[in-house]
Amino acid sequence: MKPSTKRMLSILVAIILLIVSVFVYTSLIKPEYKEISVMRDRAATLSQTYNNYESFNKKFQEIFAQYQNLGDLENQLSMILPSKIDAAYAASQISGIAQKNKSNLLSFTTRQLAIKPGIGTVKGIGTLRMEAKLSGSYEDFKMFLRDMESNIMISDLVSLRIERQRGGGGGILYTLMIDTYYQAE
Amino acid sequence: MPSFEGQFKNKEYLSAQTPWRVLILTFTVFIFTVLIYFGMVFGYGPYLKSKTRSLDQKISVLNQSVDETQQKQIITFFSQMTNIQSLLSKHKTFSQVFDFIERSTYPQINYSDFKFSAAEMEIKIEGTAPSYNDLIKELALYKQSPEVKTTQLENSSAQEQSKEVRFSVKLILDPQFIKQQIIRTGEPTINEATSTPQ
Repeated sequence: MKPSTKRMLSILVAIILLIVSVFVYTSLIKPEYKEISVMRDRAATLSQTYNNYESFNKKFQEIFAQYQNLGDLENQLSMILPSKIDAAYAASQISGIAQKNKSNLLSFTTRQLAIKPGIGTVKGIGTLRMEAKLSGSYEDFKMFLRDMESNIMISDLVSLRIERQRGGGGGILYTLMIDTYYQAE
Repeated sequence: MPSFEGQFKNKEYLSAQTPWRVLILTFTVFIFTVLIYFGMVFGYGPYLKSKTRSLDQKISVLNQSVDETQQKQIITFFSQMTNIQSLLSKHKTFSQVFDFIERSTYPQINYSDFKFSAAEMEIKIEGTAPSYNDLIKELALYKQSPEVKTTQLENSSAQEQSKEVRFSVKLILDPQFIKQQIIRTGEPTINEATSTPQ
């Protein structure tokens, strides 16, 4: 083979190799790289999510273990704020405080008010409005009100009426409207 | 010795040089691109696929490891804590109103009806005074009290037989008064009544 032909062939082969290389890059590598990039991003996101989940899970298990060690606290919290509407519990509290302060509970009614929605994962607060009629001495009633306001079950006075009891006897009649709360579902 | 130009123009010199360097360079580039492509298709791609599959599985296992009942218990517990804190921060002790009324009433004045509204901070009192002078003194006492924002005599009339003056007064209390009382009374004492909730 003549050296010039050899040279020409070499240049031709080099050009063909270059063209094939460009073809491989544009037609095969570039589209494949796009797919690889998407997969790499997804893997990075999943890896981040997994790390977060693992950390949250660890913290959750720690919190849950602490919660289980709290023992009776859950019951105590339910006495302060019942986890569901419980008119019987509210009635027993008012009746108990009235009895303790020598006041007579003449009537007791309850009605459920609108639920105040919670923020985020925190559950809402439901309100149970109670209307109670009591009779007794003024001093005892004052103690009743103080005990009710500092009782373990959270309750707020809405309105109060004090009047003479009709039908003689000189007794005093107290009509109270009280709000107590519970945790809405 | 031939000059540089002479060497360059010499046909034999040009024909003797095969462009090996260019050939090797293009061949290297070609091999390199082919290796990259196969590396991506048979190496990195499957590795990434298996990695995402494994992470998906691990996340799904982690999701299942937290029991729904446990979640509910924790949410209920923390909601109770948050809601109790919120309710206690707004809790007011209105029983202090009686101390104010006792302090601001002359012994000659008798009350027959007392109404209190916490939302409006309003007290409506009906009662009797021995005379108009006593009623005026009583109204002045209400007005002087720092707890009272406004005093309004709604109605008054002298009784012909008993000479007493019947009156009806509306008092609007200062909301700050109740707030201050909460701070003064401090932590509420816990009295447990008869039963526990369900």
